[in-house]
Amino acid sequence: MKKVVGQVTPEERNEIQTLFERRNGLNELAKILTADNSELYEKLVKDMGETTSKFQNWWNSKAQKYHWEAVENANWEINFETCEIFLVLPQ
Amino acid sequence: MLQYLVILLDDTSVAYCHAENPLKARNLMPLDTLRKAVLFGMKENLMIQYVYPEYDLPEEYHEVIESIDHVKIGRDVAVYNEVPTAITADNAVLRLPIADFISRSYDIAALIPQVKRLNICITDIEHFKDEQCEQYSKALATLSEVLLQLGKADKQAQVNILTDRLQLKHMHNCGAGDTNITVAPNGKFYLCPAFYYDEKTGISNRLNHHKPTSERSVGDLDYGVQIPNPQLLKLDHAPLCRICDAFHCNRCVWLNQKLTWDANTPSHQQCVLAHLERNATRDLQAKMMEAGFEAGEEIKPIDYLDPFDVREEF
Repeated sequence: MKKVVGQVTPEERNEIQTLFERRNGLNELAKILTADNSELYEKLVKDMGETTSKFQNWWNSKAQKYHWEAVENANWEINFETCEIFLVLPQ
Repeated sequence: MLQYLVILLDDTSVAYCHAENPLKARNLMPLDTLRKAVLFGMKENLMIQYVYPEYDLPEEYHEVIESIDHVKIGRDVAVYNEVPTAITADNAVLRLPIADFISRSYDIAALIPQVKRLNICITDIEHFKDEQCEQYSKALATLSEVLLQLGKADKQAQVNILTDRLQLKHMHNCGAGDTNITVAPNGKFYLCPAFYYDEKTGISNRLNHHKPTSERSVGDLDYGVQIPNPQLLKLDHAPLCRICDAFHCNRCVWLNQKLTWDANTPSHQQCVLAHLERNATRDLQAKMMEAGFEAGEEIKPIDYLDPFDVREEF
């Protein structure tokens, strides 16, 4: 079950959408690279770490800014079309 | 023989090749002109490539557009002028200055698993310096590594400057005025969109020996394609290119006339880039064969980057 708990601006949506797409792209790359491809692999690992932390920082800073409702074991989702934030409750 | 008809739907249609589109004012091809262009394509049995502007076309254009087999450049084929964070289309064109290609090679490589085909188009070939050879080769090797690992994971993607040469057995180049022709919103034919842009912006045509003019059209939809001395655009009239084995080379006709003043003679920069790509493909081929993949006919080692430098022995 999920319900709308807030909204972000289109600019804020663009930030998280870019990070989301970047993270997905890196995950695809990670599926095919191994530690044998040392230079690329090291870059990828560093990049994934940085992207993941930027991704988490975005959620932390926006949650602090907008005071979205939170529930233990639940998570937030964003609708990129509408900029709405949903609270997704555990089944 | 003509195989493709490029239809520029608007003056502001996306640039998808080497030349930038400097035209900023909308000038949509009239519907009647579009109908004539489609009819021309049908009669000549040409594959149509519509080049779209960014804005949505009026409803009445769609019926005419859909009346013939085609590809939509700027829609089905996505065109990017900077490295995107993700690509959602199966086929994409990435247009970049060479310095960006070199500095962003890792980010470009990261896009390869997301596409079926990526066409990389360097937009400032004329500024390429021999001192950049090593950096360009390194950038190609970065992309090549991802292609190899994709193959090992039973996935496939094509990158024009690395995989086309694996499949080609003879020259397959730009072909402007030979295998393809462009019709502009004014209903006139041009060798490619870049020649139309040059005419519209008043750049003098120095290949015209008779009078100073910026005119570059080669016929129109009423009288057909009329290219003066069409043999001078053909491979068999290019003494070095016809025996060159950088089969994937763009041999961009527009860049040729801009940089060498001859539509059929590529510049030093074009030759060097094409040979660096050929050699990177050779390295990729060797690694693919080592990994047990079929990788086309063996690409031989060479000791030159510009055939003109070794023309006596070539």
